[in-house]
Amino acid sequence: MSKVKIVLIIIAALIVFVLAIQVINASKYKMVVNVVEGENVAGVNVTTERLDFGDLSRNNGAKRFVSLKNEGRISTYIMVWKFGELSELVNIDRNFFTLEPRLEEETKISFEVNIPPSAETRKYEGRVWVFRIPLLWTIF
Amino acid sequence: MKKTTKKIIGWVCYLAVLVGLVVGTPRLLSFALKTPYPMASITSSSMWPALKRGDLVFIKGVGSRGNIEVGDVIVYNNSLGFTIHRVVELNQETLITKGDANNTPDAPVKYGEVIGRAVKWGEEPFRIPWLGHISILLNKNLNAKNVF
Repeated sequence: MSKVKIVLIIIAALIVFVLAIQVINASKYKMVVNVVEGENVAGVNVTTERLDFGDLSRNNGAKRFVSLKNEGRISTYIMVWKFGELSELVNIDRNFFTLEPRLEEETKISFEVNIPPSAETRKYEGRVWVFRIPLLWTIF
Repeated sequence: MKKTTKKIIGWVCYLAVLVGLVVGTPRLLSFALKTPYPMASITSSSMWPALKRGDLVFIKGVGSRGNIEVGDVIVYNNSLGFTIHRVVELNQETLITKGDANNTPDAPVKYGEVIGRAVKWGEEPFRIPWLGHISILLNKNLNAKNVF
């Protein structure tokens, strides 16, 4: 095997390794909403383990928040991925932004779901991954 | 024949096929589906869950008004661009449409404003997920008409 191929394989392996670390380190949440019959129904399931929008009727909505704080010395790039059936109904207020280090206040990302009149009365689920990518050059 | 010449001919053929596909496919679809607008990208969620933002749908010309039925998903021209909604009522001079995810019906549409009907797969419109995002991104810069 030539030296060039070896170098390319090493670079590819490093890239895969870094990507794997980012995926493992990402904060992962399950999203769920239970669409029910009726009007203006909003039942709350309080939990910090997942983004549970509770019971909602059609034409109703709810918001949940994820708090972020950067206590390190390096700026962090925040990237939010949502997927699954529920992701089509959820709006995220901010995405693809840099979280500066050592800020006193927490930064909140809001996830808002709006149930359209065409939704079926059943559970809709999805997943959210919040990636925190360190911007290593900002340490200087 | 020299290797270089063979390579060049190969590349020319490849590019000719590619250009032919890019230019010819919409024209072929227009001819087959009998409409100048055979494809549409969905840019909003007004027809959720039947059609989702970023979907690509195919549009077939309707010919006469007799071909439109209640429940059909049609595309029509309005001041905002193109709208793709479901027919809920047929009248003498106009028809009424409504997005599945909307609460209220749209303003009446004249039959002459109807561009076509979404090609179906079974009971619902045939859609290719995500492919419409390409067109949405391109049209953002070109400021062309989108489908709502």
